[in-house]
Amino acid sequence: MVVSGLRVAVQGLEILKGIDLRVESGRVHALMGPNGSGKSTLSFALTGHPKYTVTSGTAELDGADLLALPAHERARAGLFLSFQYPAAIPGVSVANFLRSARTALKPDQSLPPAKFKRLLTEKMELLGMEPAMLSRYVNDGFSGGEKKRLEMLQMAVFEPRYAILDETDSGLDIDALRAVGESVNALRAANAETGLLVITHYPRILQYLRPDRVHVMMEGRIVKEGGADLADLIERDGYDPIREEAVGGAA
Amino acid sequence: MALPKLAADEGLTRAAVAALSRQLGENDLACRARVDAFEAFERLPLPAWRLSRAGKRTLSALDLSSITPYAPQPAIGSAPEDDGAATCIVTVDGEPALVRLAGEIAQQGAYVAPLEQALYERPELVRPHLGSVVGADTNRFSALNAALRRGGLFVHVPKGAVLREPIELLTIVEGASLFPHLLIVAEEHAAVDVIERIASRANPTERLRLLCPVSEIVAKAGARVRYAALQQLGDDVSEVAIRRATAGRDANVELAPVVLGGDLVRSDAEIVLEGSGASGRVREVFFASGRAAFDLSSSITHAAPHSSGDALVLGAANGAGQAAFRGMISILEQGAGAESNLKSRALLLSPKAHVDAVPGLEIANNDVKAYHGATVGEIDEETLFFCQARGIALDEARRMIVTGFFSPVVDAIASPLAQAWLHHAIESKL
Ligand SMILES: Nc1ncnc2c1ncn2[C@@H]1O[C@H](COP(=O)(O)OP(=O)(O)OP(=O)(O)O)[C@@H](O)[C@H]1O
Ligand SMILES: [Mg+2]
Repeated sequence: MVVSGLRVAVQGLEILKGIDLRVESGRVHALMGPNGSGKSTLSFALTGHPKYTVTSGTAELDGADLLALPAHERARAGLFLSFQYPAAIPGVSVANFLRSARTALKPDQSLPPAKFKRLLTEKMELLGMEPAMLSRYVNDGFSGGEKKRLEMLQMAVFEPRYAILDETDSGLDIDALRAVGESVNALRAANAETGLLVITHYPRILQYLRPDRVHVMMEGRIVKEGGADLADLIERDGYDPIREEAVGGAA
Repeated sequence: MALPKLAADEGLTRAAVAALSRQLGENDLACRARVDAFEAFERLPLPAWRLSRAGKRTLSALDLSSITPYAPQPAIGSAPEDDGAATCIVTVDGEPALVRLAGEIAQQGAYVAPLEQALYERPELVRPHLGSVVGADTNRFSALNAALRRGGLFVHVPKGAVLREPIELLTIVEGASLFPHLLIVAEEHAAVDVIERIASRANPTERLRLLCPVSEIVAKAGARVRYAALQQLGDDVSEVAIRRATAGRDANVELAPVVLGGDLVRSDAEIVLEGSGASGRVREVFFASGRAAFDLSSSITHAAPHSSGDALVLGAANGAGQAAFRGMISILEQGAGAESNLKSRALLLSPKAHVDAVPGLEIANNDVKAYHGATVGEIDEETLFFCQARGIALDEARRMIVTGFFSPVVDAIASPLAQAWLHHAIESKL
């Protein structure tokens, strides 16, 4: 997935001021940055949220012009977003939702109900989820951790080509974090091509998902890039040194 | 019982009322009662129409003088195909077209028959209750129903009898206006579910058709009655419905008015908790689409100690559809220890759609717990986007969210068949 010169405005206010970012398939990219720097805005702009207006720039997914597609077709093209705050759908059971969504995403790979059920149970076990969750309404009354696990279940069932994990790790207890890490790694083992963009504030998740590349966003720009050790550096020193470096560079 | 064709100019007159009575083979007393009811109809005022944006779409716009008050020809033989085994009664323009009773009706000593037949066969069971819950003089339309009553059903479940399968009633409006009367009597500790579907066929007369049903439910001590009325009339029929239940000591009544169709519709439903420990549940659904205008109300009246009430109303409006919903909890002085709650939620699915939700509380006793809440809103944008981000196209996502919105009531309907029908009916409006 290749993003170039992406500028994005929300309600007339420019939030992203020219983002260049390449997420390689089969690789793990970490995106870090202080609160409000624009990480979720990037996720929404790429997945086609109607409130986020792309004012210039391009985004390609394996050659396809992502920005020309309506949101549901971006998902069908293979882009998945694990929401920082997933929405609830009262009255729609997890099982029905997963089935409808999978049919929409993979119309030519339909599974008979029994097989689909087996697929779900297997992935849920890996994520430490109770089968009873299947009959609950999507995210309705779910705890923060339950929502994140359900996001990961969807990712496991939909097998996207690229996935953005927007703070999937925040609010998870240690066990849940490990379960999420293992589930994502299982997906990567089965689909070696999957490219990941992991948005996080904490290096802990990155111990499960060793990033090939770390990108740092500040005030709507990518201001620094590096290897996995950059995350450790940020954990130790915070963002100030990078901020000063960026300001110094600009000056 | 072929009825002579009424001349168009006969319309809604005393002569038409008397003619109907004669054709139904009634005695003078019954005819007199109809004519008295007709006079009450002429005297009583039109009930208020409570939509805030009604404009000209009001009950007073109904030209009652131009209706055909009953179908001239019985439509026997045109019942829909049906080969199930459950108890099922189909009426077309008030004439029974299919009466099928499951084995358990006789086994349990219950009695189920079209109302006119019941009045003839078992007057001692029917007479004491007919009009005891909804009196003819309740309002202008109950009076009109009593004057032109035709069709409907009588259900009697004797003491201790429990019917396992729901009784299905299909009411079809075709050639004329219709004034059916449903009476359900559950004796002590009896239990029954009745599911009525109300539909219309294309109008052969092009005259205004009014459906004006009255339903009465008597649940005696310890009885359990559930009644769902699933209305999907065409937009060339208007409806004024009155449904009322009384619950005796520890009795349990559920009313589920579902209003999906019709042009101008007024529906009033009430459960009166008369015995101590009685409980009442209202599960209401409405969906106003096209130009439809609905004026709906549901009330639970606590007239005895330690009664409990629970009302959930889910509605939607689409196109230029509009609806006013009034939910009322009244707790009378003798209602100490009552617990009651009422929630209504409505979805606006288009910019021109409009819903007024007005919850009301009248409490004359301090020792009670009552809660009410009403919301009216649009489909949540973040929920829509969430679905789209999972590959689901916008229309499909809306359908999914709206269907889910209604599911707390739809999934609670006693018959899977009726559930499926309702799901389909709701989806077809999106
Ligand atoms: N829908 C919106 N309406 C108004 N402002 C928005 C909206 N979305 C984002 N913003 C603004 O854009 C800026 C970037 O927000 P964004 O959510 O992208 O940050 P973030 O990097 O994801 O932060 P966090 O780490 O706290 O999740 C913030 O100032 C935010 O208030
Ligand atoms: Mg964010």
